[in-house]
Amino acid sequence: MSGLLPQLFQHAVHNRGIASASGTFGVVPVVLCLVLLFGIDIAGMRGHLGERGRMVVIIATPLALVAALTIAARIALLLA
Amino acid sequence: MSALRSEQALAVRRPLALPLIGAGALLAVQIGLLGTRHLLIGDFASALLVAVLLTVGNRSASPAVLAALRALAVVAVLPVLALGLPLGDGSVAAGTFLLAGIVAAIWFAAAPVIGINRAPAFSLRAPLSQFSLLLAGTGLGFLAYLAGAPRGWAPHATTAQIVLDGAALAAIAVAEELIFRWLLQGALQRIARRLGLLIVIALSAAVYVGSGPPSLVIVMAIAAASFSFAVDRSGSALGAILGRIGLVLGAGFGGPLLIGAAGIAVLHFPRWRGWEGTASLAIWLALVTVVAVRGAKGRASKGQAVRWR
Repeated sequence: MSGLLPQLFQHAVHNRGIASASGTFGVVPVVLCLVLLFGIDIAGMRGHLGERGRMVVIIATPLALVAALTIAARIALLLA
Repeated sequence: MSALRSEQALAVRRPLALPLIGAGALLAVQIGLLGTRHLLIGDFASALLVAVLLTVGNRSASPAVLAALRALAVVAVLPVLALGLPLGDGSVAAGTFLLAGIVAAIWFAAAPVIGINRAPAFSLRAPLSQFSLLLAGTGLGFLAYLAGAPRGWAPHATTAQIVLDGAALAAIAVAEELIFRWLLQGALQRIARRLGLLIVIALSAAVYVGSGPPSLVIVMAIAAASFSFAVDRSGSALGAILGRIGLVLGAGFGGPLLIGAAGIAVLHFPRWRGWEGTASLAIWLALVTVVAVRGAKGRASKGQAVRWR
């Protein structure tokens, strides 16, 4: 009964297959990751990159990992 | 341009305004969208909040306000990660372990940027009181089970699977305590020691809205208030981590195994989950919260655990 588990349980209940889960909730980390990286690119061009840039990288990295896992899961489903 | 000016004015005149608005938005998303199972729109709203919290206040706000906004952004990204993982038909325990690892890695990397020392989180200050939190957390776990917490294992799980599920629950409990009790509480208490504590209690309890009856959310809020107070007083998160492990294992495993079906008649489950239980727990929550907020000293003021940048 941990804090993030309600969401995990809801997720598992509402989306029984990997395909449907990655088709709906998997897209959000990808979009957020792209938005953050686009923002950091603009900030870098303006010379405002500092601790905010580091923070964006820290948050974007796990998002990219989640996105990669989603893509890998879908490929595994296709090949299976 | 005018929006930028008003944001600058707000940040200069009222340092707490931006973090307070951010925390309010987080609570609204958690309770209004994710708690009511509007998962997809809640997921998008959380992602939007992450982008906004990382952007606002960059030109004008003080370092403490920026740190608080970044800590709130870390909290906002948690549901995006939890919902985005491709669990589906896969192992819930493996997904939980993975999520715990990701959250712990975020804590490890984000703490120095936010200006929070990592090392004192695990320091053994006042060991007796820190370990007594393990007992207190376990007791609250039993209460959480009576109040409606679900079992921690699937119906036909083997012993090995049950042990693995328990370990995964403990792992994510540690990761969450590090984020809520150490990172967020440390950042918020720099700008407002009492209000910061109250915000952390509200945010960590709001995660449970929609996952059980109101009495369960209140038990989790009591636990959050107790653990936040312990971290504030001791300058270490070790006691809160032990307490949280006791809480999740007590609720998910201890309660079902020791109380189980035999306790239904004796301990009156329906009463605990009904209005009588909710009302009495709410009174307890109010008392614990008042004690915690009034007694908050703010770790930053003592210079024990929070490094100022």
